[in-house]
Amino acid sequence: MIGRAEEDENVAKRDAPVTTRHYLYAYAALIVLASASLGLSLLPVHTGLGVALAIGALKAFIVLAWFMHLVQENFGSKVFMFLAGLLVFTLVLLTALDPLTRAPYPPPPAENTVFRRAAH
Amino acid sequence: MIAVKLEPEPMALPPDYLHAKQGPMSWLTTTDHKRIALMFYGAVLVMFLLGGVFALLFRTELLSPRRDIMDATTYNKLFTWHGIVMVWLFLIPSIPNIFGNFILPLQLGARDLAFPRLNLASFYVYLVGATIVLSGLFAGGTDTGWTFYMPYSENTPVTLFPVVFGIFVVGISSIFTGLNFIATVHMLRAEGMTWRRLPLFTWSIYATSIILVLATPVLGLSLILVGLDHVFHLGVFDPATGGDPVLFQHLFWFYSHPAVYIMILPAMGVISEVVPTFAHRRPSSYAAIALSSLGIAFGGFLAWGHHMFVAGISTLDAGVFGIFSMFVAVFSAIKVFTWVATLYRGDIVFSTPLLYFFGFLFLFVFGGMTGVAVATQSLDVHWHDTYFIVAHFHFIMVGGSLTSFLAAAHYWFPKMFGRLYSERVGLLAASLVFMGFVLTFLPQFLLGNAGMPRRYYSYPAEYQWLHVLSTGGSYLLGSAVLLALGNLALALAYGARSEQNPWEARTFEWLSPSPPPEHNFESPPVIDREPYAFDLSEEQIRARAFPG
Amino acid sequence: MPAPSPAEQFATLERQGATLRFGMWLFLTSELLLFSGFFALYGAYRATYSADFQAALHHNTLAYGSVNTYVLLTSSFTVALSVSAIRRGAGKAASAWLGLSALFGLAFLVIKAAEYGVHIHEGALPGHWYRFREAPTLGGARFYTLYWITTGAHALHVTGGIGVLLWLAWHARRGRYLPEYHPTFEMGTLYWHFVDVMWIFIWPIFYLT
Ligand SMILES: [Cu+2]
Repeated sequence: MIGRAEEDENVAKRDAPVTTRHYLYAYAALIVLASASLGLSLLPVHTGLGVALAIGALKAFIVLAWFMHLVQENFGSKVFMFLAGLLVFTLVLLTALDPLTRAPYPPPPAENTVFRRAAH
Repeated sequence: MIAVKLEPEPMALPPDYLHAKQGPMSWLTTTDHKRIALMFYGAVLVMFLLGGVFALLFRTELLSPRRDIMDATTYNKLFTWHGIVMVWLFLIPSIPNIFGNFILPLQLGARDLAFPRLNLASFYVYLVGATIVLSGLFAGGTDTGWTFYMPYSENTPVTLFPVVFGIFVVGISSIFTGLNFIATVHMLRAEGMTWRRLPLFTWSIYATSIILVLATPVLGLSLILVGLDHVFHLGVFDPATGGDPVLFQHLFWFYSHPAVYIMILPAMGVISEVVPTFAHRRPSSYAAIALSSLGIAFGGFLAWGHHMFVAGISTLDAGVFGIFSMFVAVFSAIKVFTWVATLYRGDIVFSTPLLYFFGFLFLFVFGGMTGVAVATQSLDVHWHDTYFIVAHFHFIMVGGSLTSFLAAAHYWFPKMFGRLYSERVGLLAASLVFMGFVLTFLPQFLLGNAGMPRRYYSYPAEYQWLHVLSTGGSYLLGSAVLLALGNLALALAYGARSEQNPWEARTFEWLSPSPPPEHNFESPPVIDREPYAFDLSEEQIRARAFPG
Repeated sequence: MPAPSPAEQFATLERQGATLRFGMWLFLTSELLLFSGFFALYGAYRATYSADFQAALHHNTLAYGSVNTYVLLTSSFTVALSVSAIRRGAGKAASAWLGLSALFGLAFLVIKAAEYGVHIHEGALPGHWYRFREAPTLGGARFYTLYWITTGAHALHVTGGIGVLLWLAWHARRGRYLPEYHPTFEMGTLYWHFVDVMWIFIWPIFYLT
């Protein structure tokens, strides 16, 4: 018969379930990371968007892995989530690459003085 | 209905899915994937004919450079309507929602899709979306072209929002269907149906579904933003407030380039079934076809910028997109070589679906080669926005999908309805479809190369003879499609009863009765071999596949 | 309540539950790609108007956005606790945790509405309505247009998520979910966590740096 749980790689592995204790650790980590991110942005030293996004990615990973139990889900869920993340990255990268590297856009009719300041 | 009662089924078999339940409500509320497939069949064919009528109308107008039957605004609307209806209401749902829906569970040995009610919901969401789109169109809307480019779409005087919202709704239906197929392939394969035993049609529908789920939401978002810009002047893409209209093109083509593979991958899947069946050979490389489907699906996500070479995007970005576009052609070429190699030394039976394959082969290779040409930036500058592009994408995506759609309609006709169509009329129609198609679009390659821009109402007199040829071809194509569909419609009522496996096909879906019973299989089947190796006698196979 | 039998296309109940959760994950990938469009627009416009974006960002309502971050993170935690409760078979407790989470969601929306009020007052509005004097005109208008559509779409998702949480709470209270079989429940909670994950990325790009 198909689908016997013990030999079914498509059914989540529930023998080591995520427990309340995992949730607590995850929540603590999230609060610490959020506070770190907030603190960094308030510092006079400019750390930039990259650091904030890296912290965000870590937080997102924590939520996905433990709050959403992705660690114990089947292989397909993990692959598709990874693939989706990769595509988001590609879309943002290749779209932003265009204005980053393109020759200056023709100034808009109305306020081209402001545009020049923004572009340089 | 009366004819059915005169020929009672053998008592041993359960009634087929067409007769298992009676009455209109048993259809409208069904969760049987086969019945939902047929409802999609009906709806999608209506859209197909509608989109075809739009095309014939504006092709008629183009017979001469003067005004013939409509003014310029009506012409703009008609080519827009043709594009919108054909792309979103016909081509995108056609093969996946009809044949994918019907055949996929049968090929997997499953009793239904993973989420049957979601499947039914997908149908009704499609109907609602299509109704919104069509009412928006007929209320006089949309002259923007099917691409909705900004900033024209923000400022066009005609109504826009119902149409883009309707397409958004149709997109939800696409996502539901794609999600359902992926879940089914992952979770409902019969015992012994490993990934390496999936039939190639299933592989291609699976690859298509990945695109449906991951690309469609971006289209939905970009169209909603266009609609909001049009109605509320949010100015997301509006250059007057510093916005960048090219960004709309990025988002739009992030979906709409992979959408080409939503149309062509299922077509390739159909071909990958038709060729081994009528050549009586196993596919010469199963892995090459299966893996190239995934390669096309993933590679296709990285190629969208080739639509924007002349839109002012950066040359670096354009170069990246150009290279990725050519990668996709490599995977497509692998498939073409494998199909041709499958025919080599085959015991070829010349039939209607196979004739459509030959048409497909020519249109696909020709369209594909011109595609590699326009993926080159320097050449694209010359051909961009001319009839050359129109002819290119009609060859590869319409020619490819239409011929395989008709191939599938004939190939699985006995499976779906248990009857045989007239082979002679089928062969005639297939030849005429091919001739009509070539006659319509070959002149357009020449027109575009000579400098005729697309979407123009009028043109210099020296282009007229090519336009007349093209219009003549479109009339031929239209009649040929009607002939093919009419042949099938007649067979539905008067066709001879088909055996279970009239083509001697060697894939698993032909092992269930034709037409299949409501629940596909009496007992859960067991797969014990490669996908194209079901060539024992029927009794032997049944004994192995349904032990006990 | 006896364990339900699987639908005809599934061999076992385990597999039916796993398929339902897998379907939900696929839906969430689709939702993620929906938001990716906003992020792509943000990246491209920030590349164009880098200085203007940072100026506009420093005039944004940091306090509102940051409080909302903590509110959403906490709501995710309480939703996770409701799953623990369901696995113990404590439907009433699960229902209470979800009710609390829905309250957090509501608090998020109230704070968000107050924040929108501030923006309307300042004239930090999208597109043609932009009147905010403290940020540069062109890049500022871009920034706040994106801000409104992105957070607006997110707020719509939060609203939907609250509905889902309340629906689950109602059924959990009536004991609809078994300790060993509750895929619908988990699907609903996955949706809420996803909304939280989206805010995790919206917060830094519109408020922090
Ligand atoms: Cu393309």
